[in-house]
Amino acid sequence: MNAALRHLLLCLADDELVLGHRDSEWTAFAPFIEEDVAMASIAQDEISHASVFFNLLKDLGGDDPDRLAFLRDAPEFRNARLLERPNGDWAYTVVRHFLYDLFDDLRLDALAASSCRELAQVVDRLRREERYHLMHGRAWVARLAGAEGEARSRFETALEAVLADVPGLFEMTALDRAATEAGFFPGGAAGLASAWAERAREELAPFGLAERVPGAASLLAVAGGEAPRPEALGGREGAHTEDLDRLLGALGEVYRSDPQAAW
Amino acid sequence: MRVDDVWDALGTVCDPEIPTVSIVDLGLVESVRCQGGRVEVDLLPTFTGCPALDVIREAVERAVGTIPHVERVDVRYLLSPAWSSDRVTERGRAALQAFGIAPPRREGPAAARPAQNVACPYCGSTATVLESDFGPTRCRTIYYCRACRNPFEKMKEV
Repeated sequence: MNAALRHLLLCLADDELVLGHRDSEWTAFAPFIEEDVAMASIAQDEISHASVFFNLLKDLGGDDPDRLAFLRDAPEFRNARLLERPNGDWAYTVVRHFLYDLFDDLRLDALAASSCRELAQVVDRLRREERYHLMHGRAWVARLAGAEGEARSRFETALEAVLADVPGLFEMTALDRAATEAGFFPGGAAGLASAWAERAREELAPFGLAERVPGAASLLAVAGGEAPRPEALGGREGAHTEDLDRLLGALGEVYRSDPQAAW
Repeated sequence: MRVDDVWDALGTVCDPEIPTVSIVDLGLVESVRCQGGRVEVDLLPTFTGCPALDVIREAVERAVGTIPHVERVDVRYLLSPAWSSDRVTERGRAALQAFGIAPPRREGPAAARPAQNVACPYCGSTATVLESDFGPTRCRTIYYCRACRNPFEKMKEV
């Protein structure tokens, strides 16, 4: 199959799979029972969305979804590094999810016009589910950023850490550029930077935090490797951290114990 | 065997978790085609990767398979068009209510949130509050009724 399309579907699937796994790590550890239910539900959504992209890949002549999900090693993964970071505290979890969900929403919107008809067709279905993630994130941003004391200071610390990694979402490898040129991803990830910055500022403005969000030019400079922040980048090329190795060890542990088992 | 016979059979297949409501009334059935002894049924999943999908597929194969002269049943799940809670029929909404799940509002994904004054399926009071945007399954949210003091679930608008 087309290498650029395969790359794009892996970026989409891996972002969702890796974040979905991180979400699932909160099961039984979330701050209270409703959040436990929420995070488990969100994890199910993200992992289901990964499976939609993996199955799309298979239908278009790609590999077996189970092999892709459970048997690949970190260098074969195409998720942004932001998503493989450990969950940290609740504030980091909330901020990372929300700022990624804003990006994901814009990305799905752009993919509705994809020249790959099968991909364009699933977008509406996924966005209907993602809407609830945005609502959930927005409510938590208001709770933490609108608070005083420890909640607010943890929120600000988390915001700084997440924003340092956000440029990785806009990174464009040669395959990303090829996917953009072929119309698989109209505008490409880099094309979303200014809309993302605008939306992130809008969401954070009520809490006096809009100016913390870097502008599109700055995001793209880092994403393009012009600014000295290499640790945010590399995910789209398979350059990951040990955090992903550990995550994949847990994610694939049961499957790898007996790949032939019938489920 | 006619297409109508297939629809009648599908009307007997219930949501595995909500035995009062059929998949037809939930709006899951997109189309039915018959050719010779072969039947094709296209279903729309309420949520991607819902764990009930395989159970529903098997139930559809069984129910349609009992119609005389049916030799083969093919069930497909389509992601497009997207299932919307607006597809739930009036009968389906009444069946959800009877089971203790408040039906979704008729505004699909555009519904403003959170739903205010949702009628409690147990006592009918609208003195209810949203407890959680998420529930025991991905298609439901949790409310609490201040009048009869019962928690209850409501189907999400999607």
